[in-house]
Amino acid sequence: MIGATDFGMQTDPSWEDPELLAAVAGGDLGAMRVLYDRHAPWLSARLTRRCNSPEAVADVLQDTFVALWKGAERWRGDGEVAAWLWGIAIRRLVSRLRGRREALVLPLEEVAAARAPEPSAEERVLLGLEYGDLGTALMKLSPEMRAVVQATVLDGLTTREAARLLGIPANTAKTRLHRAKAHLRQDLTEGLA
Amino acid sequence: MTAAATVGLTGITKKYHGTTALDAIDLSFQPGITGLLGPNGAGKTTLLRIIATVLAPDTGNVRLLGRTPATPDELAQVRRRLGYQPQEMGFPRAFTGFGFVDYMAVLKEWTARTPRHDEVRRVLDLVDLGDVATKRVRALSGGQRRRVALAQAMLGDPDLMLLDEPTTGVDPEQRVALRHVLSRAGERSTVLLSTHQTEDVAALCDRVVVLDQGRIRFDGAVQDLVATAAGRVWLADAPDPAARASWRTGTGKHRNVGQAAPPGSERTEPTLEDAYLLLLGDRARTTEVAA
Amino acid sequence: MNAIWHVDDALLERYVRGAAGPLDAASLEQHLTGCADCRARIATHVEVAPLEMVWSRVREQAQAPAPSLVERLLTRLGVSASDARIVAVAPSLRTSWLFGLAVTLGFVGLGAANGEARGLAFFLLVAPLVPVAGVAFAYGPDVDPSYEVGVAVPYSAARLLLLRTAAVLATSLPLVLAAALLVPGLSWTAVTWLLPALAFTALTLAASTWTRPTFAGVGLGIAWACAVGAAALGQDPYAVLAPSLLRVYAVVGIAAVLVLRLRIRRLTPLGSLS
Repeated sequence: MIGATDFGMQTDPSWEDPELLAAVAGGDLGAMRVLYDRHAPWLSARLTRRCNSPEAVADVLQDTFVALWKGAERWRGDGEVAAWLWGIAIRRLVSRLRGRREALVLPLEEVAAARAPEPSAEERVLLGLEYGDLGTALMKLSPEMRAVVQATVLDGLTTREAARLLGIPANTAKTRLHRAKAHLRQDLTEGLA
Repeated sequence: MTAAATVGLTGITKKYHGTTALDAIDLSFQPGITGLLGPNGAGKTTLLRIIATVLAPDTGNVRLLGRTPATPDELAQVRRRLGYQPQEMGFPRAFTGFGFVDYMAVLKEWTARTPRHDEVRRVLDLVDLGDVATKRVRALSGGQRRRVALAQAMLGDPDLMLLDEPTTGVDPEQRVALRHVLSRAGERSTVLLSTHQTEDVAALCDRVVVLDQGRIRFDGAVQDLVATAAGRVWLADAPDPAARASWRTGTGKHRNVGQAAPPGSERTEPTLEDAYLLLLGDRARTTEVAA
Repeated sequence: MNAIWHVDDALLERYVRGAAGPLDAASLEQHLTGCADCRARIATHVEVAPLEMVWSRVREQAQAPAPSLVERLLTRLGVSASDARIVAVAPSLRTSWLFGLAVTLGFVGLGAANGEARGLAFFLLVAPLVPVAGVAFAYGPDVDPSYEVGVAVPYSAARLLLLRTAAVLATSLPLVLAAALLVPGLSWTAVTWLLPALAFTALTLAASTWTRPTFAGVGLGIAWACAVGAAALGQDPYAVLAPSLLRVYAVVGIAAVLVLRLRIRRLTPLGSLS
């Protein structure tokens, strides 16, 4: 992949992610810095929600961007760079958790301090906008099932990886996902009917 | 030659295949920036190579940083405090800019990795290559490669810096930036700058040495050299046949440089370039040393 | 994706703090994947210092040159990191060179496997010249485009050349030995070629104090080719390894080492760079 900086152009912070990525493939560290400034903050926050160890998050963040530096050429150009980065990051986190006995992972349902069991009006709006009917159906699931759906459907992990992330046995994850999908299917078809 | 001189050359002669590159040169240099001007083949590169301990003179004495480098130990001592940027420099295949400067730093005995990498980053930032130093050198432009060559010469803040055409091929914006860097270096170190660009000499140097055919044609303050062209530069609407050299300027008028401006002509302030042209055209004189 | 809807600033702050509910969070995260504006806004809530720390580590990994195979081997053998780097940079110690050498020797060995005079002659031609080529391509203006600036450094040129020669011998001799095993009838000849090999290496080094290593290598190569050619024409390629000649090689090698010892200080050519 030939980047614009190969023609002597200076990296411009107004460039879109794909252009920056092409420059990174050509060895431009300045472009990499811009990508880092854009994506490291949200990646760090999102990783922290799944793992309460700052060292682990820092290591995963480092690995992710080093992988970006080395593998920038391999990006196909399909979809968002952000999604690609998250895919790398979450997989690094999961492989880091392999074999670790400590509960590094924060179960998702424990996060909120005082959550009303009823979704707020704000939540309804958010979910409606992002997920439509699926969001409403998700709300009806138990927290455990929601966590598995989130890890697999939204984060793109396999059931084994999701199990590792959540600290549950692989079979449990599989069962929960199966049941969750059944519930969702039922809700959505009922909704259409 | 004063005791404080960083470089002392006496009777330096060097011949190549019968041509005399340097003819019994006596020179000494102190901290500050000295410009070395001269046409191609004048001997500037040969002179810099000898001072950089890359070449030995046929005859003569070289004293560097208080030593006469005869043994390998003394050579190593001198080279520890020396930075050299050759006129033409190739780079080994597959090196990045950072990798090359890092390799030079290893050769300059920066053994510990972290301080070495910090120093490499420092010199690369000085020449404004921080972002692209991770590219292969072969992928860099000519001006950027020149700056890599300059960066390695600045490793470790050497006491003696020998730069052969440091700004050739560098775009004007970068050249101005480099002048600031070189100017600051000249505050502590002895910098010898060989160049074709009289503007660089005018902007940076207090002292200028003009070489031609292996001999010194001028050695003194820049303003003294400029003064030799006083009253010998004039503007006209057309090239003046009486002028030694004449060219069209950006304003449309022609700048004429010659023996003497004709009476009644529009005289103008001489630049270093004018004085240099006049000096080299003046082959009747041998050496001109400022008082 | 929504062009007009963005995440509320308060929710972003709660999310970073860890106080956002799971559904909020899921929704927000999905939105962020597609919205650069909200990604920029969340950055204002995230602590900068840890991110800067990670960046400096990322930058270091991106900038630092990756050590080659030879460099890693040398460090594992106890050579200092700087020496290993200086040695491994030599063209004849690059992985690509060693790989090409292995392949070439494979062919040469196979060519000699049938015991025919020509194949044998070729092997005997190549074997002692392998380390010579390695030394000739380890140092000097012909193989190092940055040679001139590499002269003006405090690192000892003698040390550089000797270390690189040692590495060349250590990497190339085992490869030649492996090829020698393919040549028939060779329990003795499998090692006698070592004598001219080492002698010629010493000669190349000694000659490097006068002239460029490449010139020395080429000169030696031509001389040896003539010798092997003459022996092959006389139907006895092994003649170049006759015991009487082996003694000659030994003497020449020792003499070369002595000359090298005397002149090694002149390795930094303070003469013409030509």
